[in-house]
Amino acid sequence: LELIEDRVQRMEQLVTARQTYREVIYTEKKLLLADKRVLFSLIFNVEAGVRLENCRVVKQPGGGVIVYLPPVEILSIDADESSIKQYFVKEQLTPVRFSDFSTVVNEEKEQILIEARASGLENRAEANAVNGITAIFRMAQIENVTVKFSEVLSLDRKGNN
Amino acid sequence: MARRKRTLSFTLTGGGVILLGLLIVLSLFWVYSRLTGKRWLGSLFQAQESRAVYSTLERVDDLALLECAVYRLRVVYPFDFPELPEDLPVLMGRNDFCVISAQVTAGYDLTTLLSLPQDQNLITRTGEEIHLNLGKPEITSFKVADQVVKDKGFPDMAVTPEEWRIIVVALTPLIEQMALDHGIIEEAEQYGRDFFLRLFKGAGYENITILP
Repeated sequence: LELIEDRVQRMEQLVTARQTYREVIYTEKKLLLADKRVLFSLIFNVEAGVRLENCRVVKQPGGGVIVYLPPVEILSIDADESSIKQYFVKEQLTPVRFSDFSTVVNEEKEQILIEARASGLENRAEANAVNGITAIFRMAQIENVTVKFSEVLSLDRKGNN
Repeated sequence: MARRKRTLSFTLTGGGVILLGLLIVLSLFWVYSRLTGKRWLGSLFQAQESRAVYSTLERVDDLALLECAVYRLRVVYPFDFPELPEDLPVLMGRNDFCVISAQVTAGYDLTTLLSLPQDQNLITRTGEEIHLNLGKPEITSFKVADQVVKDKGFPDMAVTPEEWRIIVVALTPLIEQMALDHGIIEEAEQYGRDFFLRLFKGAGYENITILP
């Protein structure tokens, strides 16, 4: 049993990079004379960034700040249903059912995750997170900003001033 | 000779013809099973499935999307939506339904804000005082959870990908309105302020003014 609270909840995350994949999917199922086939395409969005719940800012002597961020992570992989383009459907003696295509869509997410990681999405998201946080402080004329990532991606980056 | 004629006449009429036909069909299936290596009777009732996926990376976007509030909900289509658009016949009258899990987020799209000219900054500083002029947050995303029906125990509704798209597109504004009715914008505004206050207080600025 999965509980969903009927209220708005706090969320603190900075999405800093997104990759958009277009998938063309074909499925067919045959049993005796029954035959159903579907060809369609849709878009997957993979978003990466940082969860800011544990973000910590420490003032440095001399006016600068160090911002400690958790490691960048893939925040979501989502199929955009509004982007579906159905090229054809064949329904011979049996209708196409939700699971006929949703199963493929779900299984494909694993592959997309691998591709997104291999293409360096997290590194791009990390660089953008540094730029974003630095720009926020720069708007307030706080120039000397250092962003540090904890744990796995402990790549210290200093904002470009 | 007369007896043989009678026997032949009996074989070629009635059940004999059916029996002969059945024997031929079974023989063909036996040959088919020998050639393909499949169990000849089982293959008759065995579903054949195949699939192919072709993937292309289309875009890479650099963002600065600060998401401050989320509203998650689960609805049953069509029963949770008594006032659906008239041009939405999908699933109507089929005694079919689907359970949709969705989430709406709200916050600030800083991608554009960060690139504003210096004189239009939304965060400014006068001496030791920080001024925040963030404006109203907006809905930043609407996502329908990708689900596998079989795992949830719900009936597998008869719907094509195009019909599924029509359902989701029609429900999107209705679900977003539910999030708005639950105060997602106001909550995101408060949580966003909390975040910036924490950020600048950590930087040593206690005097922070939030402009309306």
